[in-house]
Formats: sequence, structure tokens, C-alpha cells
Amino acid sequence: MSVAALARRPAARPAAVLAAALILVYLIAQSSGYNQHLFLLCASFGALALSLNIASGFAGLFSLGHGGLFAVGAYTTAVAAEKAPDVSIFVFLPAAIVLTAAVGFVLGVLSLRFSSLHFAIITLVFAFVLTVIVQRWSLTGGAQGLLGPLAPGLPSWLSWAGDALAWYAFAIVAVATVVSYWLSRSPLHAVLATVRDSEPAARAAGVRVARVKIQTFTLSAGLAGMAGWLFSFSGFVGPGQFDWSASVNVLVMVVLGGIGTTIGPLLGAAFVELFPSVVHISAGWQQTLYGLLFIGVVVAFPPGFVGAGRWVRELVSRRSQPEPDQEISKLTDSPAPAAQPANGHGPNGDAAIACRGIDFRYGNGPRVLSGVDITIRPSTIHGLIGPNGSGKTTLVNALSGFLNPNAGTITISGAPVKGVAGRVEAGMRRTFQAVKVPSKLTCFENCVVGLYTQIPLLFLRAPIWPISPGHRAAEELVEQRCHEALEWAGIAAWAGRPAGSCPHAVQQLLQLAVAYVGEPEILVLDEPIAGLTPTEISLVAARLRALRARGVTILVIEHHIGFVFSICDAVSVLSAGELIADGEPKQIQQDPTVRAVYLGA
Amino acid sequence: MTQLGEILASGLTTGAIYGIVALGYAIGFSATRVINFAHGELLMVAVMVTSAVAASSAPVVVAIAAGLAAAVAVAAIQYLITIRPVTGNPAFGFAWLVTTLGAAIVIESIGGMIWGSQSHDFPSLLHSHNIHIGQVVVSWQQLLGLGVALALGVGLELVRRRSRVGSVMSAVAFDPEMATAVGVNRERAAFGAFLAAGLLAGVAGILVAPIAFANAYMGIGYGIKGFIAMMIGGLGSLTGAIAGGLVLGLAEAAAATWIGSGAVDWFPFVVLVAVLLVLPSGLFRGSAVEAPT
Amino acid sequence: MKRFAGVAVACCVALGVAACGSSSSGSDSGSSSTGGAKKLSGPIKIGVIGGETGAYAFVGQEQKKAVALAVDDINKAGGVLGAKLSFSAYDDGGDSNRAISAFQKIASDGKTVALIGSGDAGQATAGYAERLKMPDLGIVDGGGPTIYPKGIGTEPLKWVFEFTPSNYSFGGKLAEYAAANCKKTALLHDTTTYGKGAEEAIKAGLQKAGKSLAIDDPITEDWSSTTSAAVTPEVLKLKNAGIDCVIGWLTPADDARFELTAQANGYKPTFMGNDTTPATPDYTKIAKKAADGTVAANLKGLLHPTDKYTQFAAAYKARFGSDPSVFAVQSYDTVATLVDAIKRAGSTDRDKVRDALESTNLQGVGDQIEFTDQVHESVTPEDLEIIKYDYASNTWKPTGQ
Repeated sequence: MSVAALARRPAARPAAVLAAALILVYLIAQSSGYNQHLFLLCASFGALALSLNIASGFAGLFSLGHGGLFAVGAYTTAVAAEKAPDVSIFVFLPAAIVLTAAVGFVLGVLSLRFSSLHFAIITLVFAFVLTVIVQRWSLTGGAQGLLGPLAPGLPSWLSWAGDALAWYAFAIVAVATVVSYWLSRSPLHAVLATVRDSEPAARAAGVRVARVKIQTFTLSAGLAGMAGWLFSFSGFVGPGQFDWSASVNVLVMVVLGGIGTTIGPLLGAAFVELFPSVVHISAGWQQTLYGLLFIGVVVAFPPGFVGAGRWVRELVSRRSQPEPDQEISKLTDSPAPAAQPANGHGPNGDAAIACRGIDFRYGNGPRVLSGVDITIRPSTIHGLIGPNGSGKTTLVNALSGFLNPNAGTITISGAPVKGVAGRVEAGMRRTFQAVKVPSKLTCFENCVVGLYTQIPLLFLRAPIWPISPGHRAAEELVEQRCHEALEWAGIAAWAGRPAGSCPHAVQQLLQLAVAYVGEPEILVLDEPIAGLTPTEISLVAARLRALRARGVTILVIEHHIGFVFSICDAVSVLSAGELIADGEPKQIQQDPTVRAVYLGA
Repeated sequence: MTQLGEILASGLTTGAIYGIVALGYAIGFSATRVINFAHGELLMVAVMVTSAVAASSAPVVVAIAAGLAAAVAVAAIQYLITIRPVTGNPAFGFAWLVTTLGAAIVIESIGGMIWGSQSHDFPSLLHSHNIHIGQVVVSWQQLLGLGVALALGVGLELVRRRSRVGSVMSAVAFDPEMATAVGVNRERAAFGAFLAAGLLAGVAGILVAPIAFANAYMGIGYGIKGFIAMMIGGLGSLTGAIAGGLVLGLAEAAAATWIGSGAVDWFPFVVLVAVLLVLPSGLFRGSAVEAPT
Repeated sequence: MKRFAGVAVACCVALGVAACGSSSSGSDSGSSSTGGAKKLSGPIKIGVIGGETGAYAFVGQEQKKAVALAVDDINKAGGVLGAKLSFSAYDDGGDSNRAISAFQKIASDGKTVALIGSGDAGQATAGYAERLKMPDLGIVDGGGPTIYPKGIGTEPLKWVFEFTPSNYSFGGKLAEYAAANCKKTALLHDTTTYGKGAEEAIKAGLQKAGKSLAIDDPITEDWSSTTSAAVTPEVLKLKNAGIDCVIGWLTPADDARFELTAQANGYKPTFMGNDTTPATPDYTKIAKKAADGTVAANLKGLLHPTDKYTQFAAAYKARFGSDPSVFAVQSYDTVATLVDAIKRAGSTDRDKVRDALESTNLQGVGDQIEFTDQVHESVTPEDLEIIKYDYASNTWKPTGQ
């Protein structure tokens, strides 16, 4: 079973779809100029919608500036065609793509500094600014705009194929569709979804979130530029076509068709473009209807056309996945097979994690952590306990790189490490207290993200995944390791179910599986057994002990004192941000300060 | 020197209107974390209804009341249809972006169909009377606008700090979950905030229409300027909104005088981009801008 | 997913069949000559594209009405060489892309002889007329640089023929007036070819009289529907520079806004508008008293009506309930000119009709229409007369200049 198969998204039959598309394009290429014009518009906006879908649907980067990116591609082509009419217009296709991608790159870099709301606003401002620029620049024809280039005809031996423009349009939208499709069937899809729905989980798996966001937006922009190149053949390129409402239009096409799907944006684009030709109403009513559509699709039916199609299909076939009602404990009880050799740093003598003098406060608030010193020995299970609000999660966030302490040092295996990515590289994985698994991905897909660091150059390979070198090896690796991790965590029966619809316990174990799949040397767990039954808890305990035997170092925060004392080699106790006790469980149990803090005695 | 005076006069008076529009945005945002992109259209509704009622020979006061009521009514309907259903929708975090923009399109196109694309008469209110400050000529209407803006800026800030309503709104703005936990009815707070925003949009419209025009397509222009003003002042900050408006007005007037009237189109965006890049939370430290972890 | 593929194939085939249903481009409608007079088989089709919404909506509306009237009149009089005339109108909403879409539709049916329009999207239709090799007549943008892309007095586009008082002719007329009556003239113009053409013509006209523009400012046309922050600074700039004549080549609403703001600031220059200013009541309705004394121009043929004009105006009013504007008059004459050219060419072949158009010499309802291979605009400054707005009587009075 491949990543795609377990992805619960049914695969299309490429040959049938391709054949049908080719027939359609052939028929259009023989038909009237007007039909070809419509097809051209559908194709350009379809490609643009697909590009936006990649940024917003796949990666959650909501852009209101794709109208502007479209403009960059279209204007580049129109201006080039005007200034250099003797150069083949195809030469300007890569130019349009690269230039637009560069603009997208800059916008992507800006996205880092801001929350996603501000990013959306910045892209909106970009669309405004671009409109103003092209309106006043004589190079772009000012307010009047430019006439677009003429599409070069097909060579004479291809004249049976009909008009060239239809084929160019098909080529462009086909490229966009294929890139989008391949991307959605590569491991990158799961990575992007995690970045979108649960950024901390992505970071914890070693995903360089900033880099991925920029790359995604750049790719999206390049495709938008390609769509713009095609659009310039519609005859006219003017500022009024690319203003903010154009950006919103594209977003609506994506949402209307079905955000996050491949066919959805195409359907949405076709619908919006063909609507005025099919429904003849006054411009005022048309605008009103558009506006209502914007509102309606989001309020009433966010999954869009594709979602509606799926819903109908499910209704008709009444197919649904069987509910696995086995309990976790009934599944494989034994430790995972194919034990990886310990690659820990045991013999080295360095502490796995060591921190000295950690201070932290939020802004000018009270200190959450004061002068915390902890040493966690390799190949041990180290517990961190304390009353609510004592700063455990904050400390763990600092140790795992999610927070920068105001003062103090942290070393991993003896060396200071930068950021979350650095720690992942050093072999650290973690889980989170409030379960943060991307709910739309299946359990299997969640694990795929855990293998991010094992798939080199994923971003470059994803858009061409099925033809990229080494993809089979990567897929096999992913399959084997993810299955193994799910088995290890005892949740293999839920592999194909969306994580959001799994019981809480499964989600808890899923986090463990995702951390495990990355072959960590240091595992940091924040309340991993919350909500588990006693049987499940003991299974987890067994798993952790097995990992320790293999040399993995484990730091675990827990409230379940019995659990902590039963598996931990050492325990640290925090209270009100300070370390009040540190040592073996037996010592801690008898420590009077600890008892006072817990029992109020 | 007169040039400076002229810049101040036209800049502050125009900026006052931007500020009142921005204030409406800010109040709506602080209660719901939603930027209502249809806000400018509410201004248009007030102006057009007032113009239409005045044209039917009703007394001006009645016309103004009708206009304001219309703006508030549309704001209420808009809230119920396009904002309430989508706040807190986890599937699509920016649903409100699409729905409020959709609402803007619907209101504008219906307005266009009712009132056409041409400009209509609007009662001149105080605009026919000028005062001369040195060489500079300002109308009483413009001064009224400035006065109202300053009064609102100071007044609403006082309400926010001193009154119970203000505390409730601040709580909802700061931590919606917590506010609910202590018994605040978030729904009602949000609804009230949007009604207030609609009223403010209407007030801004009535103040500016005697100076500008009554045109069904005027909403987007003021909407954009008000939005920029709010971002300059700081997303969600009340005094920031008024201040941002004044800053924007002055910047525009300066650009128009010293660069050329064409600069009015792009200069506000330059200011906005500069503010966003240098002071992301705006001049008055609006809401959290940095990506939450 | 098998089902998806099946659906996809079905859809594609269905769409394809529908697409095939429309004909591809063909040649002209048949013509037969039987011994003596040439006869054409109809219907002879004209395409009309204009903005029925947008800032210049009245232009498109007037155009459509006048064409309808013209087509009926011609058919009542026996048609064109025995064939009936028909037209299809498309609203482009002032949007060039929609205009091109419509144009493509019109051109691809193979039967339409010529296109009339578009007022707002004229640059696009003119450019496309050259590409599609189809005559484009009537109100095509404001003429000027759209017809003569290289400037006044140069070679016009082959396929485009302008009927409105274009920005070249109108601008030239205003320049004449300014040269004779003004000390310091300023021009405020929009940034489209409409405005830039006017700028070119006004500068040329003033230069001929040894004068020049004191201030020449491009204005982005949205004082009426946006926040108009730039009006007051602009007014003050002109006031402080001592400008006594201001030419406002903007929309009627923007011109009105300027006048009102000038009035509010105690500034009273002689204000001159463009061809749209007197064409609708918008300007005078908004500017009210401030509009008093505004200078514009109109066709002499409209100001001193001939019988032919009076007849036309009566018929127009009877049918549409309002007096015809200059745009209606010109659109009516456009159809007449086209029909005249078809008759002289004896065919609806686009090339032949185009050639025939270039030797037009016809007395229209509005004025004398003359085209040559170098002149593709029917109105020259000599065809225009200066008019002034009188607030007391709410009319534009001819001045004889």
C-alpha cells in the first residue's frame, strides 16, 4: 500500500482523464474563436486557482495577492511582446515564471515576521500597490493597459490539430494540474498540512517551517506567473483586471471548487468564468450573485463542489470505513521488531540534556522559571513533575527549543544547539501536552511528517514526485517505517483514519508514534498518558522502557505520579518556577519539601 | 507658511473622517478579531439613504436619522449573515475574509442598481459656511468632522477605561475564552460592537458627504483609507484609529501638495508599508502581530 | 475514481459537441448580382459594443438607442441593396476584456460586417479591429491617439473610423478659445488616451498661437467616488499660480467637484469642459451655480439644426423620451455612413467596405462626414462651436465663436 492509497484520497485514472481532456481540447481547437477565448480564460484562471490552492489550501498561507502575481506574469509577457516583438513569446514564459516567483519569494520572506492575518493583509496591500504601479507606469500602458500578444500558430504539420491557442491553454493548465496532483501525492503534502494545521508539530518533526513556507509561496507564485503568461493571450492586459477583487475572485474559485483538492480549483475557475456566458443577467445582478456566492460557499458549504460530490457519493454508496473497535491493548503487545541499534551517546559521558540557570518570563510578567538546573543522563528516563503552573511545560519548551530563556544555558549532548531544527538534527523529538495532531491527516500521514528529515530535497522533488529519482525508495521507507511506528504505538488499526476522528487515546499514542518514527535519541514527552486507561498506560511504560534499553534518553512530564515513579530513573520537581528537588524516585518520594508542595502540609 | 496651513487644514479634516472610519473597524475587530471589509459600504449606505430621503423633501434631521438607522440595520444583517456563522470556524480560519468581502460586493452592487453610478445631491449641512484662519479657508462642516473625530477618540477611550461596557469589551478583546468563562456574553458583545461600528461608519459618511459626493461606489475608497488608517494606528486600538487617520490625512495632503495630486493614490500605501515593516503593531501598539506559537 | 473518469469523459464529449455547434469563422454573406443593380442577401449584421454601466455609461446607452433607431429607419426605407439590416449589442461595462470577448464573439460568426464602439474600451476594440481585420466605427474611445497612434497628423489605423468630436478636434477647439481669451491656462486631464490625446491637441493648438500651458496635471479620475484628498491642494495650486482658465478634461462629476471646491475657496477661473461635460446633466446638476459660465463646445450642426436634424431629433424623442445627445447623433450617422459604404462597395466583404469607407463624403444628421485614407475622424475643430453654460436658464448657449 502506498502513501497515496492510505491517504484515503482515491487516485484518478490518469489515462482516462487525459484521453477525455485531449478530446475536449481537440474539439475546442476546431471550434469558434469565442469558444477558444472562453477556454483560454478557464485555463488561465484554472491554473491560477491551482497555484493559490497550493499556497492556501495545502500550506494554509492565505493570500489575497494572487491577482497581483497573475498581473506580474501577464504584464511581463505583454510588455515583452510589445518591446521585443520578434522574439518568440515562448522565451518569455520562463521569464514570467521566474519573475513572478521572485516576487512571491519576497512576499514569502515577509510572511515569516507576521501572523497569518497580517500576511493576508500584506498580500492584499501588495495587490493594491501593484495596481497603482501599473496604472501609472507608461511601460505597462498606464491606466489604459496593453494589448496582449498574438498566440503563435502551430507548425504546418500540426495544422490538423486546429487552433494553437487552445493547445497552449491546455498545456499550461495541464502542467499546473500535474504539479498540483503530484505534490498532493508526495510526502510533502502531509508536511504542508502539518505546517498549516499544527505548526509546532511540524517544527517538532524537524520541518524548517519558515523555509517550507517561503518555498511553497514561491512555487505558487511561479505557477501564477505561468497562468499570467497564458492570460496575456486573451487580448488585453489592463490594471482593472488584477485589482483586489481579482484576488478575491481566485480565492472564491478555490473555495467554491473545493479547497485543498486538485480538481476543485479547476471546477471553481470554470464555473466562475463560464457563469456570465451561460447566465445572461445585468452586470449589477451578476456582481450581487458573485458576492452572495462568496458568502454562501463559505458559510453554507466550505468543502465546495468536490466536497459536495464526495458527500453525494458517500450517501449513494453508503460506504464508510469500518470502525475498529478493538482496544489498543489487544494489538501487538511485544516490542517493535527490527530494533534499531542504539546510536546514543551513552559512552560519551555527556549529559543528554543539561541546562543551567534557566530564567524565563513572559514580557514584563512574573518569572515563570528561575534559575533551573537540570541534568538528564543519557539512556535514562527522567521525570519532571510539579503542581499546575509550576512551569514544567515552559521548561520543556525551552529545552526543546520552542522558547528562548531569558538567561541560562542549554546543551544537548554536551553542545549548545540552536533552535528546534538544531535539536531535531541532534536526535531530539517531542510530543505536546494539548494534543496537536493535524486532524485532517490520517494517522499514517501524520507519521510521514516524522520522517521529514529522512527524505532529502523533499520540496524540490515533490512537484515531480512520480518521476523524481529515488521516489520509490522514499515511499518504501515511509511505508515501512510508518507502519512500524503505528504498530509500535499499538494503533495500526487506525492508520487510514483521519486523526481528528480518532479517539483521544489514539491521538495521544499517535504523537508518540510520530516521535518514534524519527528514530530519536532523545525523546521529550509532555503528558503522554493523559486520558489513557491503565492497560494502555502500562503498555506505554513498556514501550518507553524498551526504548531506554536501546539507548534512547527520555524526558517525561507527567501528573500521574505512579507512572513517573515506576519508570523513571531520575525525577526533577518544579514548583513556582524553581527546582525544589532532584534525584531518584525513592528520594523524591520522601522529600519533605515535595510533600509540602503537593499535599500542602 | 500658508502652504503648511493649507496642508494642516485639509490633512486634519480629511484625516478626521478616515479616523472615524478606522474607529469603526477597530471596534469591530477588537470584539471579534474580524476586519469587516464591508465597513466602507456601510458608510455608503448611510450617505445614500440620507441623500434619497432628503431628496424627498423630508427635513434634514429625519434624513440623517434615516441614513444612520439604515447603516446600523445593514450592519446588523451583515453581522448575522457573514460574520457570526464563521467566527470560530476551525476549518477555514479566514472565512470572514471571504464573507465580508462578499458582503462588500453585494452591498455595493445592490447600491449601484438602486442609485446608479452617478453622484447624487446631498444636503450641504454646514459646508456652505466657511471660516478663514489666516489665508486658509475651512468650512464648518470640515471642522465639525475634526471635532467629532477627536471627541470620539478621547470619549471612547474613556469609556473603555472607566465604564463597565468598556471593561467588558476590553476583556473580550484581550482573551475571548476567559471573558466567556467569567460570564461575558461574547455573542452580545460582538453584536453590539458591530452595531456601534455601523453607526460610526454612518457618522463618518454624514460628515464627509457634503464635502464629497453621494455616490453608490464611494464605499470602497473610504473603506481602504480607513483600513490603512487603522493599520497605521495599530490593529484594534481605538485611539490609534483616530491618530492613524489624522496621520494618513496629513501625509496625503503633504504628498498632494509637495509631490503632486497623483501621489494621493500611492502615498498612503507607502506609509502603510513603511509602518508595517518598521512598526508592525502600528503607532499605538495594537493587537498581537507576531506569529503565535 | 472510475466513476470520476466516466463523468469526465461524458462532460468532455458533451461540451465538445456544444462547442462544435458554433460555427467557425467563414466569409461574408452571400451576394448575388442579377444583371442590373447589385442585390445583397441579408440579414446584414452589425455588432455594437458599448458600456452601459460605468463612469461613461450614458455614451454606451445613447449609442445603442441611436443604432436601433437608425437600423429601423434604414430597413423601413428598403434596407441595404435589398437586404435587411440587423444589429447585436453587447455591454462591456467599460471593461476592455469584456469588450474583446464580445468582439471575438462578433467577429467569429463570419457574417458581421463591422463593429460600432466602444466608447470606454475603444483602445482595445481599435487594436483588435486591426488584428481581426474588421471595420470599427463610431464612438471609439475619444478618437485622437486611438485612431492616430503616432500623433496628430500622422497615419491613422487602417480599420478604425471615429465619429465623435474627438479629443484632438475638441481639444483643438478649446485651445483656440484659450489662446484668444486667456492669460494663463491650466489643463487637468485623465491618464487614459482620452486625456492624453486632449493634452496633445491642446498643447499643439496653443503652440500654434505662440502660447503654452502654464500648468499641465494628470489626474487619476476618481474624485467623485473616492476620498478626493487631492482636490483642494490642486485647486489651491492653480489659484496660487494665478491661473485664469482651467480646462478640466475629466468626468463630469470630477469636473463638478473641482468647480465646487474652487468656489469654496473663493477661486473663480474660467472653467472649460470636454465633450462629455455638456452632453449630460451630471455636471450642471452637481456643480449648480459654480457651473455658471463654463465653456465647452458642440457640433455646429446640433446648435444650428438643419431640417434633417430636427426630424431625427423628433423621432428620437418620440421613441426614447429624451433629446438626443451628440453621441446619439454621431451613432446614428455612423450607421448611415456604414450603409453608404456598403452600397458603394456593392458587397459586405470587410476589405471592400473598408476601402469604400475611406472615400466617404456624406451629409449626416449632425455634420458633413468626410473620410480619406489619411483622415479617419469625421469631426474637425471647424465643425465645432464654443458654448457657454448659463445657470439662470440652465442651458448651454452658443457663442458664435
